[in-house]
Amino acid sequence: MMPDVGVGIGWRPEIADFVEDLPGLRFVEVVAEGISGRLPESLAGLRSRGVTVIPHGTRLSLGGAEPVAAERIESFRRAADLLSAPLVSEHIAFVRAGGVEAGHLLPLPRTREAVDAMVANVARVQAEVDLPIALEPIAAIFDWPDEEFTEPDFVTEILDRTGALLLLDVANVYANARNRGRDPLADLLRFPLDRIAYVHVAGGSVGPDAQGVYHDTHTDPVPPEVLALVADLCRQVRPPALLLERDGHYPPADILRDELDAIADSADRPRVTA
Amino acid sequence: MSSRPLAQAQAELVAALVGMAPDPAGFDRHRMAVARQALLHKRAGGVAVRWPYLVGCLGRDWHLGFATWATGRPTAGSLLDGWDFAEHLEAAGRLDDLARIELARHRACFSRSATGVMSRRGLRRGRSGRITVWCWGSRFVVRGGI
Repeated sequence: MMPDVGVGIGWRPEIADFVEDLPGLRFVEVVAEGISGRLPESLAGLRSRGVTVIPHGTRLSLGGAEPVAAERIESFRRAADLLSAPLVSEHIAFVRAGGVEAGHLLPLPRTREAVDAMVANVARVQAEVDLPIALEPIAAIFDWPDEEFTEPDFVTEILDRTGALLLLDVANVYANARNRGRDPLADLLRFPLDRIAYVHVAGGSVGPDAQGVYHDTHTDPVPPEVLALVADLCRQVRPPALLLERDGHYPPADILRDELDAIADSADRPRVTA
Repeated sequence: MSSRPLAQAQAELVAALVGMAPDPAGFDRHRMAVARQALLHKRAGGVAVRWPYLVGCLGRDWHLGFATWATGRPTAGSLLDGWDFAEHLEAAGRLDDLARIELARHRACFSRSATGVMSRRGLRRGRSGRITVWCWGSRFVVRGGI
């Protein structure tokens, strides 16, 4: 179970000091593949203060037709162990196929075969990692042809059959709706909101291509439209936790604090910056 | 599309996205091109973190230069991508002294094998052109060049 810990931020080595200095912080997330051997001192310090740390896998490729490698599951388990995490998270996506690394999370075809692949791989993980797992639907620049499910139905089917929880990335919902020409709020409300373990919030920007495709970069400010979706979501349900994901181009500390405050205010949760 | 097994369909998609094969049937060509560019941009950013002097050497040509070289070559991770690209530029005589020091230091401090990259132990030497780097532990010394 995800404890009720409010607003948090993705821990990254580049902003470790900033994260440690947040007075009201009670939770962070860390990329699971970055944890091996001993915990970095910064994370160990956060743990000793009672901050919840969630390992977030990015390279297990649970949606791949190939069975997830045993070594990756073992590393994931060790990370969760070192962090005494209450749950783990990964993505509804794949990252490699045919012996080639894509280098990024790729969307699955929304088919029964893909559901089966996710279910099989989640089972392999759960056999070794005795913790709840939350699965995150990703932002996709393109869709597969011939889909059998809508995205919310696809996600619900996977959660039904795996017993997994939902890591709802509001920025991804926004990006996908925008790039598909759909209403973000309508799409958001079709997800199984009662299964939310926690929420991701992130920034993005429009690329230079002719269609103006929106990219979920994690290196841009969180757009007001995404904050509005957070507010809309929190009028429907009360997520235990909401995480700001920032992966680079880190702004000055006061700007980052303002972003955390904006998320807290949108979610009607206490600010962690004071 | 739905008649192909998932494994094959995923392999075809990845091959297309890294520039090794044409787009599979049914995918939006424009969106696939945008996705390919986004992947290259992300990859270039990852290499830039590990190889800052290589980036400095190319300056404003960094993203385009890396993207041109990287298209059709799947990623081996930022460390190896940068290493391979640096050697490509070295062979073309396009590395400046700082980038040579960076490459020589990697050659001194790491060994490459089929399974990846490992730190080398003890006192080791790496070269690029007239520059030699001696490395032991986390320390290194540069001879030649500048």
